[in-house]
Amino acid sequence: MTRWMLKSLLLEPLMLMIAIASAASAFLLIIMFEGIFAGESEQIVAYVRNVKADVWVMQRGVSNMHMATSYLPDWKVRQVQELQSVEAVDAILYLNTVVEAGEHRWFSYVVGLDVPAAYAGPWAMSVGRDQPAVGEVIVPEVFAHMAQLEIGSQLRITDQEFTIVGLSRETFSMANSVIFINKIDMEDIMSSFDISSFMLVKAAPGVTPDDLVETIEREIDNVHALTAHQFLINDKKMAMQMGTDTIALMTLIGGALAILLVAFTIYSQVARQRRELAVAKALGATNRALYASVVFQAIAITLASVILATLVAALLMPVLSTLIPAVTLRLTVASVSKIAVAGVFVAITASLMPARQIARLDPVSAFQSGG
Amino acid sequence: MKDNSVLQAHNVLKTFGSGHTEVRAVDDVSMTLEKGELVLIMGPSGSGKTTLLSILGGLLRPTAGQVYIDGTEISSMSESQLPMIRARSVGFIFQAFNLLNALTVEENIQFPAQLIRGGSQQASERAAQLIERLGLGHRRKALPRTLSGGEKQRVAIARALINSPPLILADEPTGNLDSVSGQEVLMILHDIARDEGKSIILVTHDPRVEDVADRILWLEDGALRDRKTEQHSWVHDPVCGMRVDEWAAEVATTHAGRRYVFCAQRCLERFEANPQAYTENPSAVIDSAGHMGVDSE
Repeated sequence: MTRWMLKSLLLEPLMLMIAIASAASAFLLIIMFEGIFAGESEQIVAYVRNVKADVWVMQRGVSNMHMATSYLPDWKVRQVQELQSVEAVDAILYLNTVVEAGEHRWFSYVVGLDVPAAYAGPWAMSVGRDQPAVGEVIVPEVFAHMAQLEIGSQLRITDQEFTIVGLSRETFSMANSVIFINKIDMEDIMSSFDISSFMLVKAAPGVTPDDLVETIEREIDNVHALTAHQFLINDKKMAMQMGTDTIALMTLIGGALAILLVAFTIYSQVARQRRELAVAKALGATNRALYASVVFQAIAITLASVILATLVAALLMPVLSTLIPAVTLRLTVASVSKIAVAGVFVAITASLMPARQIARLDPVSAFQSGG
Repeated sequence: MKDNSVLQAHNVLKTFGSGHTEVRAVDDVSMTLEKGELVLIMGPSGSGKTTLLSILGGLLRPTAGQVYIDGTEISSMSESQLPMIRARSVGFIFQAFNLLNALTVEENIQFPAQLIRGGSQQASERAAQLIERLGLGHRRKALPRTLSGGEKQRVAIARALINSPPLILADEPTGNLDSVSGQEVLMILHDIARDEGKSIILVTHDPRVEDVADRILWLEDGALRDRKTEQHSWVHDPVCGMRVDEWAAEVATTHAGRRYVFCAQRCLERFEANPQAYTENPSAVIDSAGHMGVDSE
């Protein structure tokens, strides 16, 4: 039965290719949604992932950076610096706010650096300086390109003008870019002085991040310390939560489209094979066996569609990332696995409609020309 | 049930519709088919032949009556039990061949074997035997669309035999074939009944089949009659030469003490206009006692 169904599919290669291509386009849509989500989720936490801290220290009750507010008095920074387990501390003052350049506006992480910052500043530069002086700003290269900015151009953060002195790489995201200014300017913007938001701490040689967390929390009052690894997990979780609903809706739409396309294909296939299915039924095939065969056809088409969509996505994503640098795309194993699971659901759901056709098939119709 | 009977039908009734629109497609049919017997079912279009065949093969449930295949009553079986009976006990041969287009000759023949548990294991060997026996050795890997009508029907016969069912039901197996291929298929079916002891019911309009049949049953308006027991049923119209069923003929006359039957009123009129012109052919006459001349069929 399985061989028959598979060979029946291959009997009309053009129809099969159209069916696979149609379903693949729906799966490609889902993969692209997932790719944008995965890419943007990665990019939102780019700062936390790339700076070279072992431990992050913040206000008690805060456990991530994305959309969070944390205040630490500078004297606590000095307390941490004096700990024997600590090699270095970079303190940043941080704000989520809108950056304006002409008609362009971006929601950004604005990081106030205590210059010279050893490792809290941009980790990859395209051009210019990575340490901003007062009145200066370092912006993402993509950001500058889209707003037609260059070194020396002006932009506005809240009500203050800044001059671009450096263009950084890997710091742009559609949702949240990373901008670097001097901590003194940030204190002016926030009208708050002698404070920091986060301490980025490096452990002394031989001290593990976990030990350092324990030491800081024991020695310094009212702070929360987390290893960089845990801090990244927390931040990513928060970022993912904020986009999950939208992506779930998009995936649902793409999935529904895939179900419709595969269902239509299988329904058409069953309609075309109606007479042969009736013959098989007359010869002794059970409804269950025929239905299993139709499900097999649906799974075969869906699997081929998922593979095709994945291959096209793998080829398309690098090209799209080059053509549209504002969009960060990632094809992850998790995304592909999710699509494969969705594919099985799609195949089974798409087979439900033809199942009714099969159950109602009259084997007597095999005697079509009888008297 | 008789020990040697493969099929028994008792008072089988099948109606469609209800009230004043009710149609009796099969009307109180009873019949028995012995092992190795080849029985024809003939009758006009719409007489219920296919409906009867479908009921006998477990494809259609009768409104009343019982059908037994190999001693098992199939008319009371559930829908889930019938497919196995069809796969194991009945071989179907269709007028339109009904081969599965995507499968090769060999795969088509083996198809019913895959529908029964453990059937696939011996199917290859049995299929190979059938392929050789039916002269399909050179077409083993061919797809149905490349086969001639005669080859397709031979594949269908092999497919019907793959599970060695005791009963073969053939619906107009020569209907789509030329005379040579049709004759060939008939001889194969005859040999299957004679050599393998298969019981065959053959629904047909083809008069050539009568030569190989053990019995002929006539179905009209859903009711069955045995015709082979009635002697000299076929004669030729003395005017046009057409074969006429003496039993069913309504146009007849007596001339010089002998009875003549005609296909139509027009032939009778021509005969009566000049009887001498037609009475020299003895094959066309039946004497007044109802006996045929020397060329009777």
